[in-house]
Amino acid sequence: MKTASLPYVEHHRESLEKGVHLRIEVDRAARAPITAFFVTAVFWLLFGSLLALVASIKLHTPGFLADAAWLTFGRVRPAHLDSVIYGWCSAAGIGVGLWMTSRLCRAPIRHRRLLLGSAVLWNIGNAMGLVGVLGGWSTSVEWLEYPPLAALVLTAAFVPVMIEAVSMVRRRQPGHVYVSQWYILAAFFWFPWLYATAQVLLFWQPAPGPAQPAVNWWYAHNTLGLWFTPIGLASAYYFIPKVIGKPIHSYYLSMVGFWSLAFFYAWNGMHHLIGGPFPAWLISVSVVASLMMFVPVITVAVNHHLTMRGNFDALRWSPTLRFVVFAAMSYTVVSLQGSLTAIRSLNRLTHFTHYTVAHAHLGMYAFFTMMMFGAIYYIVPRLTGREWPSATAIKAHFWLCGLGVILYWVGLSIGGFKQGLALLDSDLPFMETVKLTLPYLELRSWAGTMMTLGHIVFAWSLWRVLAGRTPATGKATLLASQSAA
Amino acid sequence: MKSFTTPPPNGNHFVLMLALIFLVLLGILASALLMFWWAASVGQFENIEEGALAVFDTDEPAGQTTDSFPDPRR
Repeated sequence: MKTASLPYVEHHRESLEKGVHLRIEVDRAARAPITAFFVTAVFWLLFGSLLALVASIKLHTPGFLADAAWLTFGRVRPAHLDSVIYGWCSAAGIGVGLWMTSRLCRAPIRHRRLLLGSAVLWNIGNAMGLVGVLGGWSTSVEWLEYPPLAALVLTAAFVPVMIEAVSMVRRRQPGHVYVSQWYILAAFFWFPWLYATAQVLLFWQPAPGPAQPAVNWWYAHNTLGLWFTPIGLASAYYFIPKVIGKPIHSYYLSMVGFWSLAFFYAWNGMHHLIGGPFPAWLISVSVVASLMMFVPVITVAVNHHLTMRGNFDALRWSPTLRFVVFAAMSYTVVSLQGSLTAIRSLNRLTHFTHYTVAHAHLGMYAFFTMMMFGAIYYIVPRLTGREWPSATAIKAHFWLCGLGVILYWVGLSIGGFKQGLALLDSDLPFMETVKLTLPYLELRSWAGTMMTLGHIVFAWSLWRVLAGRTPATGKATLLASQSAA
Repeated sequence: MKSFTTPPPNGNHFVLMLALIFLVLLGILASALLMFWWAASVGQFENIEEGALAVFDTDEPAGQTTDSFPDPRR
């Protein structure tokens, strides 16, 4: 790690010591709750990966594990989705979001026990939900398959997270509210709103017939755009400048990106219902809003690229940056792809095909999951005061997951596109459209295996750090510069 | 708790539900407008480019890198 030069340390000793002590206090206060969210998130990532593999293999080898009801495709696939969405992505996002808020507000976490309780409750909710889905009590509503009781537990678990986030913002040190803080605070506010609204309108006071998919896709798409995307972008805006030591190229553009996301994104969800029994204006509003997303996406992409310009060599020595830059580039691709897919003519071809599955994984894996990996590689040494066990393991993790998801996305996009063309050919028997996807589905299983191996390597590294089996150098918190003085 | 079964289609109910979704959607827009108004009123948009430095600290100033691979010998 490159540290401050000694003359700099001597000159600013007092403010440095104050800053270091505050940062140590922030990390110490965050240690237990954030680690709890990370560890359990990685557990659900592994569990969800196994379910994904089972589901993937079943699509090209239908007899695989077909004798047990709880392992049938209709249960394993939604269990995989919910395990990674709520168990891994949301828990990791909560941990990363709270840590960044604490760091940027310069306000240590105050309600540690409450947050620990939140982490416990979050995992109880996930366990209840997954038992429900695998046991056959799924609601059958995509992204909301957990039985409503489990959803109630998840909602309750989120309350302390909101309390702590607001508490830190209220106690923040005077000064500018950084763009990452805007994104995180908005996400912590929007997600429970979306989740509770969808639960009420779908299960507690069910909407009639066609209104249900409208609520369903309003929720599912907005969860992606108003929960995961803000946390992911907040991470990019924090870690890229922090790692390379260079401010964002245009802070003005970053603000344009945030406010345009806040104003446009909520209108997007109905493009999932193109061709459905809905008023045309409802769909058209979403198609237009989807194309409006070019504004925040291009501002973010240009800004990140210009910030990185001249610093791409940092990818060689920074594990965090490797994952974060990969994720940021994926964000650009997935967002532009998503906007274009909302156009009716293209949607007609890709809807109900594996192309959509590939697109979803580009968003939730190549963008969000890779961003969380990068963030965790940065945060955990600062929480624990211990280094990661092996550079080789981090590189193996990166290449297995990076290449795995590229293979997944490219293969399934091509397969899905061909499937879409075949489905539109009325002369072709339906079974032929299924058969032509088989090579791409097998490729997906191989890609998924690579990603799962990457997750196992990551879990091994995390276990080594938390078990105290790696050196406590202190360098990760930059105490080296202080002790050198 | 109500049953999960879908109620029979009813035109008025459908429109009511869509209006409800629309209201929630407008609520999200309103929350964004509220945040925007607050940010403008407390001067968050003044000297905007200086805000980029808020990510740095006195001991982790701009110009200093803060991440690296662990010792490659391990």
